[in-house]
Amino acid sequence: MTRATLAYLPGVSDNEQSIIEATALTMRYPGGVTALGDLTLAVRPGITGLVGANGAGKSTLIKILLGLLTPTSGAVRVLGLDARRQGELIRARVGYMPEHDCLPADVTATEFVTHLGRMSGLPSTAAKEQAAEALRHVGLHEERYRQIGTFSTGMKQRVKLAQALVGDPGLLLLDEPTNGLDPAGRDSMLSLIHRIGTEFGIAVVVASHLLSEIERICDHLVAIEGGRLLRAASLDSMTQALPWLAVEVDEGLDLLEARLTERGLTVSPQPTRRQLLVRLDGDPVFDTVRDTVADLELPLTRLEHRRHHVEELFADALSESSAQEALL
Amino acid sequence: MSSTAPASVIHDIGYKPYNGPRLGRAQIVRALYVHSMRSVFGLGRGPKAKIVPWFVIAIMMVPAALNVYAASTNREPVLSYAAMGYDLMLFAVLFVAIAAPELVSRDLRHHTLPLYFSRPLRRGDYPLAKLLALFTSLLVVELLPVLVTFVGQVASAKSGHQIWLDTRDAFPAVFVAFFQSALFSSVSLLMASATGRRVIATGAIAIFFLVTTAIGHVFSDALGRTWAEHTVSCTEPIVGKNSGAQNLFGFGGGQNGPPTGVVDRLCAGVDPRNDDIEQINGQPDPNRPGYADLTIQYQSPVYSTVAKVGGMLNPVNIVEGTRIWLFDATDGQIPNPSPLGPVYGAETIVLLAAASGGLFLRYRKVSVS
Repeated sequence: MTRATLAYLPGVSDNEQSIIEATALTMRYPGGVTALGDLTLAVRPGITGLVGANGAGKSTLIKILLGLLTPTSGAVRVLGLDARRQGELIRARVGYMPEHDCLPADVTATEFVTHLGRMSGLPSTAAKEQAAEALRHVGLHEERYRQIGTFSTGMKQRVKLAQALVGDPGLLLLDEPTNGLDPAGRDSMLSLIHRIGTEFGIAVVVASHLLSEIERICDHLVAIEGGRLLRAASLDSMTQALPWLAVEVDEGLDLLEARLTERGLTVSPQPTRRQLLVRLDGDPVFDTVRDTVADLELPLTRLEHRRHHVEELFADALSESSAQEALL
Repeated sequence: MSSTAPASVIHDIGYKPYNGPRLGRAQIVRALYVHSMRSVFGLGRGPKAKIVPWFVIAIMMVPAALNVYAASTNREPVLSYAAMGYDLMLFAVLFVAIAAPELVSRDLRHHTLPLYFSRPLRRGDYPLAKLLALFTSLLVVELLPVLVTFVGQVASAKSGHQIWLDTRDAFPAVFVAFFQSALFSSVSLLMASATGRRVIATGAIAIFFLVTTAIGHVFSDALGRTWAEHTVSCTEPIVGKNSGAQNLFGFGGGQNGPPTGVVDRLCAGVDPRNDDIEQINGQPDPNRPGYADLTIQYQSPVYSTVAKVGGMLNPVNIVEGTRIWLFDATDGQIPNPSPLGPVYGAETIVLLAAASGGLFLRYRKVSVS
């Protein structure tokens, strides 16, 4: 969903434009620790998952995006603005939800969100209205005059989200938004984020160390490890490319493979499982496979439409690098 | 979760993008300043947050109200301008000991700072707004008794010249209020910004100010004092507001001695409360009708160097010593620092710069996430 309000931001004119653009971003701390190494990525409108283990450089990246840290080298643009020089303008238009607890106990949700709305640059009356709106959107309309100290963990997470949402940001940076939530709370938080990203039309970056959790709400995924980009892809293209047909036969695997390849299909044999994976390029594939098996008179035991879990795609890369890490 | 169902119902109202005005950084700092000032006085907070600030304001008003009453009945003020800042110091300490932790320790305790710094504010803006807020709040509280007394004096003044004299007297009180507020707010905020625990911050601030005051007090009489003889002559208009001309020359024989206000006004800078007045002679000036020639003989104490140095440990004494030095005052509440006056003045500036500088440094280093 494109939103007209984005149009006035310099450089962000349409859906295709990148919300975040990092080029050869490197961050070395004075102690010699390299938090980010030569990171290049682009984040488009929609919901983007930023995945990486703890210490992968997610927080450093977020601080650089907010213009709070100056990268050692490389360029980074957020909402079309240079994060090195225009941090203030970026921070006025980006909502940030920190990972840890950051709420005072002795003020009401309305007071708190209103104050932070003012700190985002909203005039007094607008801040009150926008705070009420934000709390309504996160489902705390009824409880807005209660002190935050009386809230459950799930409600507190919603207040944290509301303070990031106040004032209609162009981009939301959410750091581990499901932290400390029970499965039900997690689901409702995720569906809330999904709604913000799709129906509100706000670009969202969700940082998480749990890929399985955020994959179902994300349009794009970016995986970083040790400050480096492991993989970035649109989830659409991944899931489009994903479907495979698993063909399991008791015998004649090689023969079947040869015949299917002859007929122009992409086949990946998995001898250990006595399976062939045939890429589903279109509906005729089913017919071709059926006919081929019938022609060869092979004993077919299983025909399964397989959908890769996104995690599997990342698993190789992740395990590789953690193996490297273990060696160090 | 039960909240999912109502949320989806509420959502039907739809999301409206905000297209209204967005304020710049300067206005955000101003908003934080106003918000901080309100929280110092407990405005917009529960009743508990209002107890201490409004108690202090009430206490500050007591001598001011008595001064107004005294002025209206032609009596000497209960608390002179010059003594206000020093004598009411305890309440200023109480005020900042509660206000400074309220301003900065809360945000540290609840880790709220990342929410500020992920917004347009820069690192220095936060301490700047907090410092200005506490400074202005304390200045208002300290100027209140000065202002009320002044209004009372002006209301019962009998001549324009008397208003001018009163204004001249009030100026040192404004000076003390200004520098006391600046030093108190910067020092107490620096101390409060070291901890997220309000109780500890409050205790540390109170202990710092009270203990150094006590030390200054102990030192003020160290090694005793000697007396120096002085004689002052002057020609001043006969305007005793609380006396009229007949009382002007009646003093010396009364059971309470010379009315201090009269002497203050006639020979500025001589305060018989601190200085032993031995004799006052006066008669109408033959050449200037309405004026009197006065000769006042008095003694003033001379303190040891230890006593003068001892005052430098405490912010209250530093400001008072600076006042004595700058205004050449004899009505000081601490030993006259002369010839160390410039040292007191320099220390005021250095301490102010160090405390505020430390506060800004503190927030340069604070973590963002």
